[in-house]
Amino acid sequence: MLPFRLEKRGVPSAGLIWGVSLAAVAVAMLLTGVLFAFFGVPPIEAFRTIVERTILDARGLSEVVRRAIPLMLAGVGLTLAFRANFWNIGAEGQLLIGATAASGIALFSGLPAGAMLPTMLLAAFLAGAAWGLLPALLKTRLGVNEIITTLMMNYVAIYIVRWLINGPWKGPSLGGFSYTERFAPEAVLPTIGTTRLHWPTLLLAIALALFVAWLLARTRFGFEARMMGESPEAARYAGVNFFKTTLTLILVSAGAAGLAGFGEVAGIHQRLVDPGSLSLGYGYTAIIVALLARKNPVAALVTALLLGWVAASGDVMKISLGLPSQITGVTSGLVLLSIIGSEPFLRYRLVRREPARTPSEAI
Amino acid sequence: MTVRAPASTPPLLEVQNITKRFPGVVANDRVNFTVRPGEVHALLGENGAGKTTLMHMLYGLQAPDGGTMAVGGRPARFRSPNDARAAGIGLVAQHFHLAGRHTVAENLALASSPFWRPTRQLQDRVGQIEATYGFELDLNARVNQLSPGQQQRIEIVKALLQGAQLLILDEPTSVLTPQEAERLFTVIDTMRQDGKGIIFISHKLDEVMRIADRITVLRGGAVAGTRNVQDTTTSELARLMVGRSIDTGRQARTETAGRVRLTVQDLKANRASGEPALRGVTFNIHAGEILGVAGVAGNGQAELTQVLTGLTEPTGGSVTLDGHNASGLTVRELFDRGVVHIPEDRNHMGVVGGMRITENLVMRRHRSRPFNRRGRLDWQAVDRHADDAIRDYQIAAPSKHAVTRELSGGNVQKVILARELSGKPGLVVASHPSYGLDVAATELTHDLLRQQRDEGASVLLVSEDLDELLKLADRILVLYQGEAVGVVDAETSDRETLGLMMAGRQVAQGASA
Repeated sequence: MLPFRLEKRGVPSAGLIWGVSLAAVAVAMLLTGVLFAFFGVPPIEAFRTIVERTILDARGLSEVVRRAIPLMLAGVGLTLAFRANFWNIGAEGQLLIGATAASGIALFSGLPAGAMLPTMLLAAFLAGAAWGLLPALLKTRLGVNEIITTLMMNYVAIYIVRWLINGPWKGPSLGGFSYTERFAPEAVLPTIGTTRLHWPTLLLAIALALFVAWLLARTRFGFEARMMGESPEAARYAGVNFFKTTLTLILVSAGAAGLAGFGEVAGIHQRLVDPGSLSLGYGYTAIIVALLARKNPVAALVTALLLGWVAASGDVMKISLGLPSQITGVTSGLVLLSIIGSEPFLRYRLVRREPARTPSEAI
Repeated sequence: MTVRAPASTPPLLEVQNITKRFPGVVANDRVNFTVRPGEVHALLGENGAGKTTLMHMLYGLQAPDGGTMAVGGRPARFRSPNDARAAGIGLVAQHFHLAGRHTVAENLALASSPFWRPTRQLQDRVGQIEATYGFELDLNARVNQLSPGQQQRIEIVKALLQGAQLLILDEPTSVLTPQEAERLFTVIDTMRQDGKGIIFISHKLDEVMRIADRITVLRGGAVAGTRNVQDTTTSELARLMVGRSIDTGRQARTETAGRVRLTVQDLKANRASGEPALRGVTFNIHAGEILGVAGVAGNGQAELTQVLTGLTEPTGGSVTLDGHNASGLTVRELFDRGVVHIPEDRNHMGVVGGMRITENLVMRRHRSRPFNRRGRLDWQAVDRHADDAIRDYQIAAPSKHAVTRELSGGNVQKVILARELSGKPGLVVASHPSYGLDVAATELTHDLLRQQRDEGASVLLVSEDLDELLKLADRILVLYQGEAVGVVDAETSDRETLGLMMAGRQVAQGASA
């Protein structure tokens, strides 16, 4: 018998959560380093180059934040869904549909300059929410597993975007290229200086995180959503209306992902482009963002920056180190694995086994 | 017709003074019993009498704290079920341990076959068992397409393939139709003639009388008596099972009950699995009255509480509360009409273990003032409410902000009682409210329920503890297989009468079979 045993902890302290999460990220980075070594690049050297070109370089840093913005918006939304035990894996599709709706307004509405961006924003939010609504209805009304439906909806969204940019919305002036015409200037978000940092969306993400934190902590809705997530049985006993609560939370969660799509088209691409270049899997990475933040919306702002850094370092790997940029996907995956692997450290502690007194312990 | 081995052969199993303690409770207290070859030995007892603990120790799932076991005359000490199986002990659990999507052959191979080509020779070995016991198994059928009776036979064959000489059958008829039960009894008869020993765990008097050679009755963890089947009667067994009526310390209601608060008419409801659980139950409860509900677990009590509290929709009949139709209302609507619920599963349903004590003390009340102000929760009001409740109900908590999971069972129940009883309820539905609690917490629970009655509330008290029912209730409704066997006056009733009614016997009020 091992001289140690696992003992259940009470509520983990904030310090413990941060410590364990940082350790999990460190383990993921260590394993990424091993991967670098397999490609023949000295890991220390590689990390030094990446840090120099991303964090220590102003333009590089702006790229980190730029990539963190959609992760923040979608990730904050996911923390709300995950807290209520609604496993929304469909942020990717919700983001794409949000981007599509915003593009539709930008290209075809002909709204005046002052109304353009707010309308695009609203349309993106509502479209994303609508994309989450169907899985929510299927779950609450028919008991269909939301993991499967939200995931499947992603593919529907991808093909809708592909069809639009190859068909009805394809820009006539572009020859063979498959994307829409460029948005008019009034449909484009301002950026900081010459960077691609569309700051209004960044502010929106921060406001959203605070709003979701307030919802969860201070409102009846948040209380009931948390109850649903912690113990569905007790929530039923407490008379929580699962239908209404689920629909409300998916509205916010999927709507937030829709906003991320708005930021990408109005801030970066200025047109609706192929899903592969539009999103770079932000909707999936946002799952890691929410889980690494331990489902805390404000902490998701920080973890989004971390995963944004991982995404931005892909460019450095490709350009400066000659490494395939797909390694960032591996790194993100390693982060997810080590977070999941670190969960038991939050729930249990190792204690030295006391000498057995009675045979009853040998169950 | 029993074929007994000569007295000189050692018993298959001999248990001496076996004892098992859990924190705060002695589950088995110096239990003695033996099983001879060719004997069906029934273990009879109410829920919580210690049958399951004893079975776990016999099968190596738990280690005894004291006492000895001997198998075939040799001392035995099991560290795991593997040890027990190696000693020739097999278990057919109440809930089968089968891989539903796999075939019968695969399930059998999993239990007892060589690593390489596991299903080889299976046909022959199973064929022998089939020939001996006179039943057939379709080895290629998928387990989840078979009836419970057929699945049980797989479990029996599994144990026999593993070389079991002594089979423990845990409540084997609970999942069977009467016809399937008859077929099981035939198989048991054959095993008896084959010289195997059977431990038949049950709380059903009739079937024990029908199949057993000897019967050991457990009560409160100790042996209440061992009888040969020809020397005993169901009445004697019922008395042994529930104990002699002692001074129950009942405190009659101070005044006669008021008007009828709840009328339940021909109520029907299904289990989650869709089979009927309540088959037309009719009763009423007055204001200022405690109606006890007695019955062996699984006879419809759970569904009755679920329907009355809105957790399950009835499939028929009506519920009238204070003169208004209340069937099919939601949990919230019923709660708002004064129906509170002290649920059976207090840790998973009664509280949210991962949330704070303050939060648990307001859930269900969090929608109304002063806690809810137009959708925003007033945490100061919540904290004040928690301070009051912790003081009034003497909840021992490290802090009001601690998570409820950290509380002891008694204190979790106090949190539930504080929340449910604080708003002057009209109908209190209490399900096993003192189960697993220590003496002090039990007393407090009883006092609070009595206090509710005296203040004019109606209380529906579901319990398997007959002493508790006789002590608290004014009238007792007995459920058997989803039907009301009858309602008796607690004052003039006794444990024996209730015990027989719980076994489905219609008993005239006050008579004893």
